[in-house]
Amino acid sequence: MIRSADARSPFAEPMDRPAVGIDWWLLGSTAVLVGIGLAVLKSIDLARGTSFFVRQALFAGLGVVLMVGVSRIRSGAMRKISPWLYGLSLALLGSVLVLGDTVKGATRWIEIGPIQFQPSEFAKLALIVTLSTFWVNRWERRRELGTFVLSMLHVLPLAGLVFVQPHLAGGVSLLVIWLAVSLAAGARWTHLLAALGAALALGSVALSAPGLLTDYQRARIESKINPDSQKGAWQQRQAEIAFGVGGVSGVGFGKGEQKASRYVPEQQNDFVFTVVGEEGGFIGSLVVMLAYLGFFVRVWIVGFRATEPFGMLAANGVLAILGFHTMLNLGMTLGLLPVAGMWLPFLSYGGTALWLCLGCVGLLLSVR
Amino acid sequence: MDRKQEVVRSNWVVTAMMALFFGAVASQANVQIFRRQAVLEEFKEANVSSMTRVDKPVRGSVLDSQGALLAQSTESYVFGLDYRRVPQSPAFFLALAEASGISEAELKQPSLEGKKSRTWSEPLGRAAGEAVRAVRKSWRADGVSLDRLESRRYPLGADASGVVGVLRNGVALNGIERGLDTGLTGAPGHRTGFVDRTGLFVRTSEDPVRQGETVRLTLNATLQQVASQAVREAVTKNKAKAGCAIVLDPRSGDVLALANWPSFDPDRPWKPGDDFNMAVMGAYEPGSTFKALTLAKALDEGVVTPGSTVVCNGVLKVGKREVKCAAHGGNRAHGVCDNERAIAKSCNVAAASWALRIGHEKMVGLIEASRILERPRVGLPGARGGVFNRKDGAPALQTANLGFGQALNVTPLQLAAAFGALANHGTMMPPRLIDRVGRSELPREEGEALFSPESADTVLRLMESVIESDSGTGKSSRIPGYRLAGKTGTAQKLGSGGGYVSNFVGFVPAREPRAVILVMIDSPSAGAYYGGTVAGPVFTEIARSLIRTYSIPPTRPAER
Repeated sequence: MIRSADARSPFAEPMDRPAVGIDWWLLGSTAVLVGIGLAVLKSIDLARGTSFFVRQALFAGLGVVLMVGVSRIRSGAMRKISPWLYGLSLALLGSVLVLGDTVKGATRWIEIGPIQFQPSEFAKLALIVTLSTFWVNRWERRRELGTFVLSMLHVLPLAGLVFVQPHLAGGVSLLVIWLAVSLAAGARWTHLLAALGAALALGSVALSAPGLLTDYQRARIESKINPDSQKGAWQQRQAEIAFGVGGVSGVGFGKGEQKASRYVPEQQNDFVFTVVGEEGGFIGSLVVMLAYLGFFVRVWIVGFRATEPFGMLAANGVLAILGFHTMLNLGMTLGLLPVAGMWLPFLSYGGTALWLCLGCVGLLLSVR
Repeated sequence: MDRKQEVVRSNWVVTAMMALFFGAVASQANVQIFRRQAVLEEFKEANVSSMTRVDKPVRGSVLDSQGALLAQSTESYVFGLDYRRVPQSPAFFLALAEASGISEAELKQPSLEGKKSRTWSEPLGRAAGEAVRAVRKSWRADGVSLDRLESRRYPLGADASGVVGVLRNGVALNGIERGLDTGLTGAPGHRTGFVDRTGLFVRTSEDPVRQGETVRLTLNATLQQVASQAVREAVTKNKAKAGCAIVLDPRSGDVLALANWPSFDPDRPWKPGDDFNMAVMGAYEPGSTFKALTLAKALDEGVVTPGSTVVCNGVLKVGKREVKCAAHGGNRAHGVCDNERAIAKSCNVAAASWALRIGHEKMVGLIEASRILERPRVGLPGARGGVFNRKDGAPALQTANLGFGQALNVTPLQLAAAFGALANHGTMMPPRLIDRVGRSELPREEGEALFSPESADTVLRLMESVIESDSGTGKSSRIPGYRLAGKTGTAQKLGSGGGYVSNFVGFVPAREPRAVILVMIDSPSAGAYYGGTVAGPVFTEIARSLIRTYSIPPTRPAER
């Protein structure tokens, strides 16, 4: 549907678009999503007396600085610093195991002054840059098994450190980035499927083989994979009720009853979309979904139009990670998928997550 | 790999994104537009399904020093059945009969008669209630109702309601019940959670219940009963307004009995004023009993020696006013009085002259040190302090009047504690009523040395003559085999109404007393009003019970 008949070599010369300038579509959809996110947090503050809005606005301000900074880095320079980013991710993930705060049985955060920082989010951005650089460096041998295996060796240490936190969704996110970038680079489907099959086999053997794990360890892992499904189902039912109350046009800004009654826990975070649905109704939900569609189509276009492999790979990595988060979060909120702790890009409360999103936008601006 | 392959690969990404978008929009439209009514029905259910369960604490018991119950809460359950909402299964009724102790036939009978529900008037005990609750849970029988009922029992009834207090309709009205209400009540626990469609309660958070604390008092239940009944008898017989009796252990300050009349039955409605416990809420002139304290102070100061005498011609001039002795048979004059005779005959002139020799400043010092003007601090609400005019225009007359217990009003409990100093070799122990709250023992206050041991022992010895000598004012209170000490008092009430307050303070036994007993009867109106006649019998009754309760051995003949 888009220029599929273009026969020219993919990265040989600039295509028919201005080489410089600002991607207003990308920035516009980002601004809409961040703005709606802030409005939702303000509404929650009004009902609960919390102060999510002010803090998130501060995070967003810092995030914009980060975004502009990243967008100024040329892709050549980006490739040069990628080993440092990778090393820093390893160091941060290692230190979180030693120094991190344990919340609800998982150690994911480190404190830097007054703010909490989640290194696994930083690792996602670093991994996109690192893998893109790796594949560009071995561009001529990108269909070889050796290259594919080497790329896998890049992701495994990071994913392993995140899995042991334990943070299942975070580890899977890193694997998703790897799969997407590998796929975009042109790795063979057979290699990818073989790797996936091996991982699944290894996981199920570890879980079921007698003697390998104690019953206690197995129970722990199973509870991580499927935490408190009864409670999760209840949250989803409450979300559904919030949507029903919202109807077509919503109850209006700041007037959500379901929101005020706190039936939905962590509403500023994983279930933030329920506030949109209750107070903005179907129309509000549609606006947010359209903004996401516009954003992701635009990310895809950045990748499609990229003038060099690095940009194409990085854009696909961003598309994968933010798309994965959006898909799982909305799927969970709409009751289509089981509950897994995935934040919604741009809307959920949280500094590190917002910085990752805006950093990704900066990366996209830099590579186009 | 060429550009075409790239494009093909990328195209399915866009296709997938569009599919996901339309899927999400469709799902949202379904929930928010097409299925909205059904979802809202769920909303109604959900609104009642999130809930907090409150676990009520059981109110703590009040015990006496021996562990006997003074107040106790019991849980019971009013049991009911709604036959439309219970399983119609013989096994269910069998299980319910076993749990509740009500026969299976009786459980089923109302249903057979066509009734829809029944509530049993006799509440189930705690164990039966729990058993029925288990049956309800395992059978999911919503039609079984159990309403928790807390009832409070007061085994001593009106004999202790003035000090233990009463809880009525969940409100602590007076006494220790009110003074220690917070500790006795405990704190409710909360379990927050939700009820899912199957009716299962899923707990999300819990703060546990804190049960009410058990309070242990220093009282002795037996003495309390005897004292209360003796006071009641004296008040009734002498047609008095009110009366009280206080029994203290002079060595520790522990209050062994604190009885008052009128009182009220904890289970019945009361008249206003019935909760007035004069032992801590009233203030009265101590009257002649106070002379014993004056004499001890005079001996301490050296202004009176054991051999001193006072000549009483019935009247003592103090400035322009006169202090008089009571006219017994037309003759006020007691003649030459040594200390023993002055106490035994209760001579006002002697007491006034002792006080004048001590001086105004030191008499006031005695009142301050003995704390008799202070409000009793034993955990009883509504306690009041005494009254004394520190800036009296005629200090000499005030001093003389103080000598025989006039010109000041004091709370009986504080006065009793001050008399305790005479029985404890001069050291006054502050009264103490609460021994333990929960696991913590209440600290004991330091004693206050009011007199030297010699002065206190001397006065105590002289007070034996009040009871043991044939001319003593308390001779009717003798108990064969035991030497006792005491002092009578009859204070004239000032102001409207007039009347007398008849007093008796006594020590059991006279040597190394185990208890000091103060009896005060307010406004006897049946004729007699002398302390020895009106309050004396109350003292004797309590003293007999004390001897039995503590197995006090008879006084050896050598000491008689």
